[in-house]
Amino acid sequence: MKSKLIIYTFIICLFLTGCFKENQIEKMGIINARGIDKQEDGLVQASLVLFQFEAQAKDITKLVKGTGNSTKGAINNANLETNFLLDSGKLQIELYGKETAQEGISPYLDTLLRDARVPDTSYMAIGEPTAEDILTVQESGISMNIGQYLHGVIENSASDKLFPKVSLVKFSRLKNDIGVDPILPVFEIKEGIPKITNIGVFQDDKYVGDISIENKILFNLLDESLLSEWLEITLPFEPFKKYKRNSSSSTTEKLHVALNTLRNDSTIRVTDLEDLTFKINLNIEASLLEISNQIKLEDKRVLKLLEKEIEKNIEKKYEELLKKLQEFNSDAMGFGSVYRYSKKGKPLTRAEWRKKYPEVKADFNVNLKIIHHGETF
Amino acid sequence: MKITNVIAPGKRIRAFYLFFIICTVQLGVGIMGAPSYIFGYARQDAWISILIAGVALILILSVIIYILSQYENSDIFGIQVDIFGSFIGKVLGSIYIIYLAMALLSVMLTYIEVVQVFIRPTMPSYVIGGLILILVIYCIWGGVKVIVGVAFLFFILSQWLLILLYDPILRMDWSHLLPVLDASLIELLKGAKASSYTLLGFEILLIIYPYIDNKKEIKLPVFLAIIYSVSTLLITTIISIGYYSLENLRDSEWTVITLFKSASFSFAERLDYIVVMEWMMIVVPNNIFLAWATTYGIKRLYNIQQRKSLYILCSLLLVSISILKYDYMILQFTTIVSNMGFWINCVYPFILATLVFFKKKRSKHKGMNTT
Repeated sequence: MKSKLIIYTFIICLFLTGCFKENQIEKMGIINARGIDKQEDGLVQASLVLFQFEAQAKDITKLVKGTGNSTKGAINNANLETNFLLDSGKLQIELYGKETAQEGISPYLDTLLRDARVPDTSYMAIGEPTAEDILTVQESGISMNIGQYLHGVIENSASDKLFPKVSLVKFSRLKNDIGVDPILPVFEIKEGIPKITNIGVFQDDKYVGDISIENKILFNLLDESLLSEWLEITLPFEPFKKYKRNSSSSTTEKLHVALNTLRNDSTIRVTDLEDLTFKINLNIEASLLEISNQIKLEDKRVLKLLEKEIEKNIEKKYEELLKKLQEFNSDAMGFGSVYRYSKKGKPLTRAEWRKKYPEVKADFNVNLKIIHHGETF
Repeated sequence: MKITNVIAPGKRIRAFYLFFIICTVQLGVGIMGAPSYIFGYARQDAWISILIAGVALILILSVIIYILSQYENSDIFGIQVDIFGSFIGKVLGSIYIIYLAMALLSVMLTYIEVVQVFIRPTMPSYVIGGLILILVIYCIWGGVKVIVGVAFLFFILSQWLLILLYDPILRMDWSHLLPVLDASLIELLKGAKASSYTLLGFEILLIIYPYIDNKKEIKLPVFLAIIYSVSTLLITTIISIGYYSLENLRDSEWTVITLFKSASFSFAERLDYIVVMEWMMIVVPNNIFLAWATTYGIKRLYNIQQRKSLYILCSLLLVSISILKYDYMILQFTTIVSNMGFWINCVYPFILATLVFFKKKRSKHKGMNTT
C-alpha cells in the first residue's frame, strides 16, 4: 500500500513539471550579441545576433533587427521578424554605436542591470561608425558567429593582448564611482574584419574621444596584475653604442625591446592635497623577449642602463597619456578615487572633481627589474 | 497553563544542535538585501555597524541565557505568565506569537519575490508558497527531533554557496572601503539597527530551551552561532561594498544574489539560477522553525492541538501571500516586522531580565523569612 502511494506521488511529480511554461531549445533564439544604435527619429534600433538550433537550418547563427522606443521594445519588434522566442540569458557582448555612445549610454544600461536574466559577465564595446555595421559584417573572414568572435577578441587578452576587459558590472561601477571614468574598446572594420582600433575614453557615461590602442598596456599595468603580457618599447640606440657586440652588424638608430611582464603592482598616493600632486609607484618584474640589436647583457651595468632607459620611456608615455586624458577631462586612471578617500571633510562631488582634474600633476615613478633574458645573452 | 514545561527525555536534543538551529533561523532571506540596507545608513563603514550589532547581540543573548537559567525548565510563554500573571502574560505571549507568524510571512514573501524576479516571473505566488508549506507541514509532523535534523542537514548542504563568492572578491575595488570611520556614531548605530532584520532569529532559543538536554552547555553553541552569522553578514557586506559602485549598491535590492551572477563555470554558465534555488535550503528550515514556534506557542497558551493550528496558520499564509504581491507592500511589511522584532527581541529581554531578577530576589527573601 505504502509503496503504491510513493509510486503515485512520484508519477504525479514527473508530470507536474509540464505545468510550467516550457522553453524548447529548438524554438529559442538565444541572443549572443546586441548592438544598440539611436536613429535620427529618436527610436532605438537593436541588431541582435542569435543562436538557433533548428534541425533544418544551415547556419546556427542569424541576425535580426528591430526598432522601438526602448531596447526591450526594439527586441520585441525584432521578434516579429523571426519565428524564434528571443532570450537574452546568454548575452556575451553589448555594442553601442559611436553616436549613441556620445550621447550617453546610461539609458540602455538600466535594462541590463534591472533584468535579472541578463548575465553580469557580458562585455561592452563601441562600434564605429554604428553597431549595426560591425554586426552585419560579411562573415567570410570569420569562421564563427560574429558575437562569439567579438567576445573572443576581448576575452582572449591573454593570447591577443588586446584590451583591458570591461564587463557590464565593471562599467557601471566605474561610471557611477566619483573620480573614475571607464574606457571601452572601439571596434572598426578593417579589411572586412572587425578589429579593435582605439580605446574609447568616457566621461561618466558619455564617449568623449579616442586614444591610441598602444596605451592599453599602460592601463593594464595600473589596473590589474598581469601575467605574461608583452610590452614593446623603442629606445634611442645612442647610450648603448659602446656596449655593442662585435658580431652584430645592424647599425640602426633605434633599439626595439620586447618584454614579458612577470609581476607588477602599483600604488597611487596623494603627495599634496592642495596642489593636486600625485605620486604613482609602479613596480614591474619582466623578462626580455626580444631585442633588435645585440648588446652585452651579461654586463650588469648594461642591464641597469637598459632598465633605466626603459623606465624613462614608460614614464614619458604615462605623462603623455595623462595629458591627453586631461584634454578630454576623463579620469580613466582613477586619480579622483584616491583623492576622494585621502581628503578630509566634505565628500568629493562629481562636478568638483571635473573642475579640478585638468590641474592634476602626477609624478610617475616606474621601477623595472629585468629578471631573465632568455636562452641567449 | 503550567510554567514548567517538562519534556520527556526521549524527545530532548543536545545543546550542540543549537548552533545549527540559531544559524538557520538567523540567516534567512534578510542577508540577501541587508548589505545595501545597512549601507544606506553607514555608507562604507557598514562593516563597523555590523561589528557593533554583533557585540550587542552577544550582550542580548547573555541576558536571555540569564533569564532562562533562573527557571528550571521553562520557555518565554511560561516565564511571562510567571512574571506578569495569567492574563497579561497570555496577552504578551499572543503578541509574541503574532510576531513569529509575521516574521514567517515576511520570509516567504521575500523568497517568493526573488524566485519570481530571477527565474519564473509568471509563476503564481501561491504555487511556490504551497510547495514550501507542504514541506513545512510534513517536517512539523515529525516533531522537534525531525526539524532539528532538517536544520542540521540543510545548513551543511547550503554552506558551499560561500565558496562561489571567490569570483566577486577577485573583482572587488578595495578603495571603496576608504576612508574608514567617515560615518558619525549615530549613523553607525542606525546601521547596526538596520542589520537587525537579518540577525533576528536568536529568539528561537527562548522557545526551544525546554527541549535541551544538557542546559549547562548552551553558551558555547549559542555564541558560536552568533559569531558565525555575524561574520557571514560581514563578509557579504564587505564584498558588496567593493563590488558595486556606491550608487548602485544603494539602489539594488538583492545585492547578495546579484553577487553570484558574475561567477560562471564552463559547465554552468549562470550560477545565479542555481543559487536562487539552493536558497530554498536556507529558507525551508527557517520557515519550519518559525511555523513550529508559532504553533507550539499557541499550544502552550491556549492548549490547541498543534496540528490544527498548523493547518489554520498555513491556510492564512497562503491567502496573505496571494494578496501581498506588490513590491512596496512587501518592503513595508518587512520594515514593520523588523521594527517589531527589534523592540521585542533586542529591548524587551533587558526589561524582562530586570523583572526576573527582582522577583527571584524577593522570593528568596521570603523563603529565608519563613524558615
